Amino acid sequence: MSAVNIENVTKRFGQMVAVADVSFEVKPGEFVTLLGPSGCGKTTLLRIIAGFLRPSEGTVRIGGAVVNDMPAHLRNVGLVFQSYALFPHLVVRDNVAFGLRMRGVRRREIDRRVGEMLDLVQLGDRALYLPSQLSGGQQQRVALARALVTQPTVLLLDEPFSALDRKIGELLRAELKRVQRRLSISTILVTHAQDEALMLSDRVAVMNLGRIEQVGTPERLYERPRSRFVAEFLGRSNLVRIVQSGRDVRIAGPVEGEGVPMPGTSGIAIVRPENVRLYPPDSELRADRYGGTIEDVQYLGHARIVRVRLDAGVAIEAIALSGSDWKPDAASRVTIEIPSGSFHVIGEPTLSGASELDPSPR
Amino acid sequence: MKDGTLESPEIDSKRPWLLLVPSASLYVFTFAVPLIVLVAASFEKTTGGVTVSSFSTDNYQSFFADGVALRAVLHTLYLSFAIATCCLLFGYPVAMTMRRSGGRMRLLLLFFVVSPLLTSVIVRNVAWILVLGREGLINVAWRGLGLTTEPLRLMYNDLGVVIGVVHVYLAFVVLPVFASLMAIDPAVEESAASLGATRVRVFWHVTLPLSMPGVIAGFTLVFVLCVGLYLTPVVMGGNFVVTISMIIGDLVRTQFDMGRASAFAVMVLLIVAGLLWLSRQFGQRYGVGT
Ligand SMILES: Nc1ncnc2c1ncn2[C@@H]1O[C@H](COP(=O)(O)OP(=O)(O)OP(=O)(O)O)[C@@H](O)[C@H]1O
Ligand SMILES: [Mg+2]
Repeated sequence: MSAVNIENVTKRFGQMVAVADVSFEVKPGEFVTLLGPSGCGKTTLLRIIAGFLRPSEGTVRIGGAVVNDMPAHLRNVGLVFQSYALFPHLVVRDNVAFGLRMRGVRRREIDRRVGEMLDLVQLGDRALYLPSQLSGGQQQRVALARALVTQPTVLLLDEPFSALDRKIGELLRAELKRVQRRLSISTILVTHAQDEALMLSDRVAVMNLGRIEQVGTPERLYERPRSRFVAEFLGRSNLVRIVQSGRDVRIAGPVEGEGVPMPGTSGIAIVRPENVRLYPPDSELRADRYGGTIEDVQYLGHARIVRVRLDAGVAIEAIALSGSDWKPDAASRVTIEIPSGSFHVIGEPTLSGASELDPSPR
Repeated sequence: MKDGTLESPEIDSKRPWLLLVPSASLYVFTFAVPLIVLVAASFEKTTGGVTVSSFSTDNYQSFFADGVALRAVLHTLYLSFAIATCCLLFGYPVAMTMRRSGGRMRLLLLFFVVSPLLTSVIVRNVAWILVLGREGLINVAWRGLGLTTEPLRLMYNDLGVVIGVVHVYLAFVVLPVFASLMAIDPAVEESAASLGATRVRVFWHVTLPLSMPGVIAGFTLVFVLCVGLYLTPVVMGGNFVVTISMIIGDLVRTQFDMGRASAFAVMVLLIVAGLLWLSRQFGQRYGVGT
């Protein structure tokens, strides 16, 4: 039995299709992230699960039971909004106790469980503060405690980190993961931040235009993206037209426009920048090496993103870790190496360029 | 630039009070001066138009000695409370509907709520007579249906005054309550629902407490406005409803007793001040102002 099971769910607002035929499941204790750009329907899907929107089509199951017609207050889901939506008129303790009060839990039991939960999120000493007297990070932890204290079947989080500054956000992510593991609670997180998704999730569902493009473990999505959209949404990637003969893969040219005719089967592939190696310009030229000119260098601190324009016309991004003796300079010549195994084929080239990539699995 | 505030060089920031001169002088001549005159007059004792003493508390003593004034004050407060409560009971659901509905419906409701304010008191009251009077719309219909032979007494009593005033002052509750409701993040109510609260409990534990600033503001506004009720009780209450303003009016127009009228008026002012203080105490409990 899965904690949440979504089957062919579609949601229309008038003519607009916000969620299109989405299916996925969350196993007990699993952490699943819905990842996608703004407006792709993540929040809509989450609100359907929480019971604030009705699906136009499809079935939603929570804990094995169909909940399509069940009002939100009976669904036993824990919800954390981006704005946290704490009760501004209640102190932290009463915020957390709210769900237990609604369930008619005995007074002493409430005090005990609220105390435990506040300790778990390290806010035991803030029990009598009003939300307005807390920092953003503390408010978020109260929201988490409030959602978890009722032991929901599933925890739903809508961009809970986006209102926090980066440093605090990172701390709280680790905190969320710790609490989630500790209680082994099934969780669905909605976000447009790919690093968040990769870091926290057991599985990620990448959404685009109301559809799920691909579901899988973070490693699988990063290393074997099924479509150009997934590849480009998760981390940096170079998209190139390739020719393949036997086990050898070579860059044939840019994806857009005509490729140089070459023997072998052609296709479209991605290469992650970390798999591109940089060598001095006078290095020995081999089949998997290409000459080019550095166009641009972005300094990130721990590394530099180096954009190289190959003589074949393709722009390739590579990562040069800081700390080595060699420092890439714009406009200087360089040799790059891409081993055949670093290409991940995602589709066939079409006449109209790369916009019609085949998203089917291979 | 001082303390990080932006200052526009074009504006002469040394004399900002200059802009307040017109409104401040208006305020002095229409409020401060009359108030001083009023207070001074309230301590003046006159007999047959001649000032006997310029400092006497006789006028104030007569307020308490004369049961008529005290009874009128109590009745005015009772009416004000009834009217403010009715405004709240009828206005709150209207404000909730306005919050939930879309732009068009919201405008329409707003129009209905505000329109009585744009109509003259006399026109409004005469219209009510046509509806509530002995030969008014309701009574005629009632008799036509054969439900009663006795006419319903819908006006020339407290009920008539309450109906006539609630009709206008509804707006003064609806608008602040609506503003308070609009300030509530719907996610807060949704959180409550997903924590297991039924719709009624969401309202009771979340929506209502969070809209209290509007409720208190609206209730206070209507209550305080009602303490000065004059015209509507005269028209809709006949001689059966006596408010303190009617007593004061009578002192001025038929008894020419400016001293007592002023003293009674000062008492009304003190009562209003007391009401505002009470409202503030309530407001602070719900975090309104500081
Ligand atoms: N109540 C509604 N009525 C009409 N259209 C809506 C409604 N709610 C959402 N939409 C539309 O559905 C689409 C998906 O919205 P949704 O809020 O689910 O996006 P999202 O993926 O959460 O985006 P974001 O990352 O910006 O929050 C959007 O195009 C939005 O305009
Ligand atoms: Mg969203």
